Amino acid sequence: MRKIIYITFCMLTSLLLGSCSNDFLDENNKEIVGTVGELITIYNSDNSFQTLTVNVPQAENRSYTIKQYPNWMKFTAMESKFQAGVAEMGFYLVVENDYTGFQQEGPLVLDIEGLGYVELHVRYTNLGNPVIVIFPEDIYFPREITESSFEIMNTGDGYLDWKIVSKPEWITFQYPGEQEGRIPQRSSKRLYINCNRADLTQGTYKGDIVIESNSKGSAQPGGKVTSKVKVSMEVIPMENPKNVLPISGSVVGAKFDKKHNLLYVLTKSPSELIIYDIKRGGEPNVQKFPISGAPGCFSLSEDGNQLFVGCSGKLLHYEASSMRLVKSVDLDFMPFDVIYGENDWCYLSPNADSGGSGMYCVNIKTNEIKTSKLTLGYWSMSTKAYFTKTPGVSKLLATSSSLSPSGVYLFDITEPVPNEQSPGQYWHVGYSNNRPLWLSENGDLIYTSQGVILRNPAKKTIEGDLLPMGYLSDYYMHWIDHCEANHSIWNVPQPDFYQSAEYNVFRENDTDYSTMDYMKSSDYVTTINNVKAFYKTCVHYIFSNKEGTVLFMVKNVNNYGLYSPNSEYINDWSLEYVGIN
Amino acid sequence: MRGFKTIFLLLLTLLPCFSLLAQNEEKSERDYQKWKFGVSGGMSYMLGSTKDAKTSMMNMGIDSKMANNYYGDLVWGPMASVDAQYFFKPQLGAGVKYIFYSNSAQLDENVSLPMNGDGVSLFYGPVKEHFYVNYVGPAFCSREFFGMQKKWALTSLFSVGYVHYRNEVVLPDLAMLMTGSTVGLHGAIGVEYNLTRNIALGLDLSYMYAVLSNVTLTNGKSTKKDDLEDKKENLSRLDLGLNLKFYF
Repeated sequence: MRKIIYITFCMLTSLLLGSCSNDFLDENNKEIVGTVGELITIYNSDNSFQTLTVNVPQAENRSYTIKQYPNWMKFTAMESKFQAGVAEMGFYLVVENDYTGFQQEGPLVLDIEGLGYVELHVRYTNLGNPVIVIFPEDIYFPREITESSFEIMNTGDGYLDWKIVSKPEWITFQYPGEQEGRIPQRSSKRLYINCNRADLTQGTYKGDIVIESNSKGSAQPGGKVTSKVKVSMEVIPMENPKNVLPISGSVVGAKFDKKHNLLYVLTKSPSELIIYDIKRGGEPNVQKFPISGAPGCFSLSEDGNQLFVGCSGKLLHYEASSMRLVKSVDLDFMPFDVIYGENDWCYLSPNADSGGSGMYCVNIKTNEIKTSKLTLGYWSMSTKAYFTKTPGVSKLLATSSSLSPSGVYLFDITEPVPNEQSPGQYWHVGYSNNRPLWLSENGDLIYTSQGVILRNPAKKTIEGDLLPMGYLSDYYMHWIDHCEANHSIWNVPQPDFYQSAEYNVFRENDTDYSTMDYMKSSDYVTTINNVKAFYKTCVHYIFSNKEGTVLFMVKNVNNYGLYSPNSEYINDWSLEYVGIN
Repeated sequence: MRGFKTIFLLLLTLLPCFSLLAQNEEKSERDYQKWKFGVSGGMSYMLGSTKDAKTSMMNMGIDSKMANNYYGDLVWGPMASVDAQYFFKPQLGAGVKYIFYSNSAQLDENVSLPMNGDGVSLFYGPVKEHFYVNYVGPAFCSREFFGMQKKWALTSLFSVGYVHYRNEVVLPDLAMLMTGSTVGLHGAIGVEYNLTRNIALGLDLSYMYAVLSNVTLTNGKSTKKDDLEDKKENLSRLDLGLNLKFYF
């Protein structure tokens, strides 16, 4: 009997002890031993099957159980194994609020055998079905170009998340912070890039700007689509070619003597006259002559032997062949334009904004200075007039740059100082657009800045209106030169803004005025604001030689878009000459 | 109230035994064994309603079949008891009664449940519980022999005692221990057959009434008391047990 009691007691004791263990509560002591820092984003995919890749190197080949996960995921297996620290988890999206832009985030906790809980965060984002389009896909930086841009467009529905993942080292973004972003549907983002040639050896460089996005087209839902922009550039020595010659001063005027094929360029700062002689062919012979004074304009005699420079307060007379100063005539005004007429008389217009004394007639032999209140009809000659002398004709053409319309004056200089009684004509027209009048080589025609072609009334009297007899293809021209030898009318548009276009030198046929050719003046290597680079140029004066075989372009750097610390006009001039086919 | 009705019925059942006791007292006065020691084992059926718990489980996303299986497992469970009595009269005795009851249930498979109420997270894991009810208390009993050789006896027992409840609950995000205690009533009737002079084999049908009104919850790190208020835990059950009794 005692045995029975003893056995019963033992059974009872074991039952009680067995029901008193709290070991099962140890499960609550499990803690998160690690986190995966990177947020894993899952994109919408019509609830189709997706795979989530989780990297936990310490997990090695251990088995795991998904302990906690967001309710918009439905895993195909809650328990599986890591393979070399990587777990591929198949799941379906279960999303009710499936509208574009919807986003939700939640923790994913894995119970890894022998390791503990590892937490990572996953985000579901429904970005719709964006489609990436990049334009252009090829960017080439010519030698003088350092800037370019391309556009990332989202032509699909939803939001396009994009990111620059790689680029060549020599490419930089103008806005470094803009290397990733989100583009709404039917919108775009333009990215501005620069190529940096510094410290690179000569050669051709190519590379890709690689963009990853969530664009439609990935093999895997939510996968990344890789797009590329091919970039290439040439690196050449940063120096000007031989046919580009620097001009040290600021050009105030340029003339071409087709009789002797000499190019005259007048500059200030320093004040000098530069003569380019191309008679010998090849490289021009360059001669520089200092000018005493602040030059504003100059004129060549018809035979090319005499040169007259209008300076502040004086008119200088030079012997062109030797640049010997023949005479200096004092003036009490600053000349705007000067032209040599005939019989030692020069005609000057004052550089005054309005009013003024009309036209000044200066005899360079006797120093006699006469003012001419030239009035033709109701219209008096105003200040800032441009003069044009028709070869072999004792008449001057003038057009005012201070009046509107600028008009066309024609007056006879047989009597050296014209007056109201002198024969002359005035046409109240606005063809010249505050620019000079240019003549055809034989003097029969006038070309105006607005592209209007007129018969020259100095050669053949015109009764009545001065009507256009044709038009050039271009408009608002800054300089025009006619070359009879190859029937070319060379012209350049107004500087800076208008010469920012791809082409800035145009050639038209002098018969039917159709465009024969167009080209771009080469960029100029110089240092501006301590930055040495290829700078765009604007042609201010253009000439061809008598034979029509060489084209001369007197040009400045293009000020449009160029930074100037004091907002001053930047003068960095050069001469470019090119052979003409 | 339903529990009290059951007790009332049980007591009614016991009444005839007490009447028999008076009739046969004189016959067995000299020749009976005063000590009785019994062990019993059998199955129990929990009488508390599982309807609300099942509904709650299904609301969490568990399908009805799994919930039914779970609570089906939970209402039926094994029990064991020991008791010792001293018969101060051939038909009447007093002693102690100890009953051990244990049961467990587990969902057929691991499930994902929104445990923390953040509206986003699901927790994956098992849902299971293992609970124990221990009862101990003084007991009053009676017996009445019958049959040709008086080898058969009708027995009855009534007890009021201490009930201890322990439930080990494991949820996907948490393991939790619920404990509590209350006063319980226990009544039993049975029949036994004397195999020998000292050993008898019997069959008991018993009823235990106990209702928990508060529990202590602990997760191993912190503990709190919870008044169950409208959700009192009904531990009442019916036990059917085979027992072996030793007389000496």
